[in-house]
Amino acid sequence: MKRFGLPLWPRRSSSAQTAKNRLQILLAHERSGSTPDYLPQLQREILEVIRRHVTVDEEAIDIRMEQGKELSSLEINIELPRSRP
Amino acid sequence: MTSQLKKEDSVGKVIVITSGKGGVGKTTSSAAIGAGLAKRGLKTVVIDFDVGLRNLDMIMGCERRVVYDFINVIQGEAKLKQALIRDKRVDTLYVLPTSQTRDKDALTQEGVEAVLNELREEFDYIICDSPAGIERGAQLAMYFADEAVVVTNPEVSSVRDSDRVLGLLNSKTKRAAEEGAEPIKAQVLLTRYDKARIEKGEMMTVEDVLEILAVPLLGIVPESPAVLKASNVGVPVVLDEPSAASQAYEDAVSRLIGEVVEMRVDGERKPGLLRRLFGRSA
Amino acid sequence: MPIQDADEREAQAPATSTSFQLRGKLFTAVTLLPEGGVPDAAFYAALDEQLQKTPQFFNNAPVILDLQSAPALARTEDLRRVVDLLRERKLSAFGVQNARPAQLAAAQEAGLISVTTGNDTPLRVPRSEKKGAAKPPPPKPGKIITTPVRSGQTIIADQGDLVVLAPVSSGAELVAAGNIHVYGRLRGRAMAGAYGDTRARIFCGKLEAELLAVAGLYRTSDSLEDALLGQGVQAFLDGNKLCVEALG
Repeated sequence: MKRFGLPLWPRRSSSAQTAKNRLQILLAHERSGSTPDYLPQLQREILEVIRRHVTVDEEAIDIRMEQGKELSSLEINIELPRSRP
Repeated sequence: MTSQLKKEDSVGKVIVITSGKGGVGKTTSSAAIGAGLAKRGLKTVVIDFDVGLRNLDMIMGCERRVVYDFINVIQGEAKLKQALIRDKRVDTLYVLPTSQTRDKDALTQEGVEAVLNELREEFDYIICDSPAGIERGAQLAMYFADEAVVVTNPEVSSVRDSDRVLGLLNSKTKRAAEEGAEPIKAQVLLTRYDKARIEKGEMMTVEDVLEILAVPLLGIVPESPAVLKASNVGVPVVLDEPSAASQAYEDAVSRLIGEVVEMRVDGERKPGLLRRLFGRSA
Repeated sequence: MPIQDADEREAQAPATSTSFQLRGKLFTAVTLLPEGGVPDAAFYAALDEQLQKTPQFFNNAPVILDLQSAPALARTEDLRRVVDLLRERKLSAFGVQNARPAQLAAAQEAGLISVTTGNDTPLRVPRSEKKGAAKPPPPKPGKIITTPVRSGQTIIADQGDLVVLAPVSSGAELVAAGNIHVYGRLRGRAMAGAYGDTRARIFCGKLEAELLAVAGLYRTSDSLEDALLGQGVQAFLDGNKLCVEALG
């Protein structure tokens, strides 16, 4: 980009900035030790609690995660049996 | 979530993207080829075999959505469908990320085989993104492959490493071990191709590389700022704005599924080149 | 002083346990036949001369002492000294063969094992006797390779000739007891007459080899004339010189 025939002071291109942001978020999560290694355990325990009340299939639990800069969300979907007698 | 039907009835094809040398563009190529196949409606999964150095998720732009990984599946801690991440842009594209915290010993041959067999039932194409080197991780990534894409830069150490990898494909894989099995079909993908430096004689020509490696050419991907930009923003090259690199990957994908496309160097079709190259390596 | 070639191959058959693995290993050792009494300075001088000619073949080679022609070499301290002096030359003596009972006891005392298995290769026959051999040996089966030989691969023709109908990459190795023929480009290393056959030759369609060797005498690409590069050539021994000539 040029203005009056002079190059502007070299600026960080937008995609490089995006890359930096993505890495910052990712590395912040990895360094804080909040890597999702605890998830298998979490899943087993959640399933255990629910099974005290309802019969659910082991395959019926689905955990999704979305990590963001400000907050991360953990989405847990459990398919319950359709009807109870 | 993986309810979408595969296009073809037969079992899926396993393709390893490998190179020996690091930094030649394996992961970029895995992401681009996987996305290119998926764009054509073929149900495709890309697997990261580089345990401990997870990068495919960054290149594919799904790093914030990783919950379970390949290693969790192999160790029985998660079901395969829980670990598969569906791409938000192309709905026939999936990623199976690897673990960032375990080491390569977590991969077992039996475990890899079981996962690949399950994926063959569900997917048309299974793309295995190999780690660099020729050790255990790289050998497991290639072991069950039906086809191989050897990513090579036009530069001596890369070509020599590719040659070594071609030797391993012919000797240390399931198809090599089984009596009567058809050998792995291997093709070369030339990346970081820099026409100016080749014309100046600083880099090897396509003909030089193919003459040494003696396998067919899958495509020529030019050195391009589009590749760096795409990995910065986490979009496979072929899903980003059109560029010479994305065109080259699209062409490579067409050839991978058996279409005949004339070779294009730096965005220009070179009618004579393809015939010459294939004439030599046939 | 006949010396066998030392090429090494592995045959792995893991017999596993929880704490260690056992693997079978096959390799070729060098047999050294001292003649007469306890090896003296002249012996070591002759040995050094031989080693200088073919250093790469003997580097850290496992060595078996054949005591057949050296009945006087029967004292433990003499054997220990031989082992030490060999080690100084990067030869690792580990066993004896054809030892008389007294020699065997002394050898075991010196930490050498008795080797009774394995076959000796033709080089054991001194060259003068070979000339007089009446019957020509039956033609030996060779090996024909039709696919490219890649960097890191080693193709060995234990007997007879090795014929390669495809390119041989830089970093690949061809080893043959007899002649080597390469009809593609030869970029790797070729070693003909690996067991000492000085009549062996190497033929190749296009020479770009890293190393050519016949019966242990070798030349690297540095020492080949530029005019020969890319040409069809043959390599053969003329006395103690390895000649490389254009074909046709």
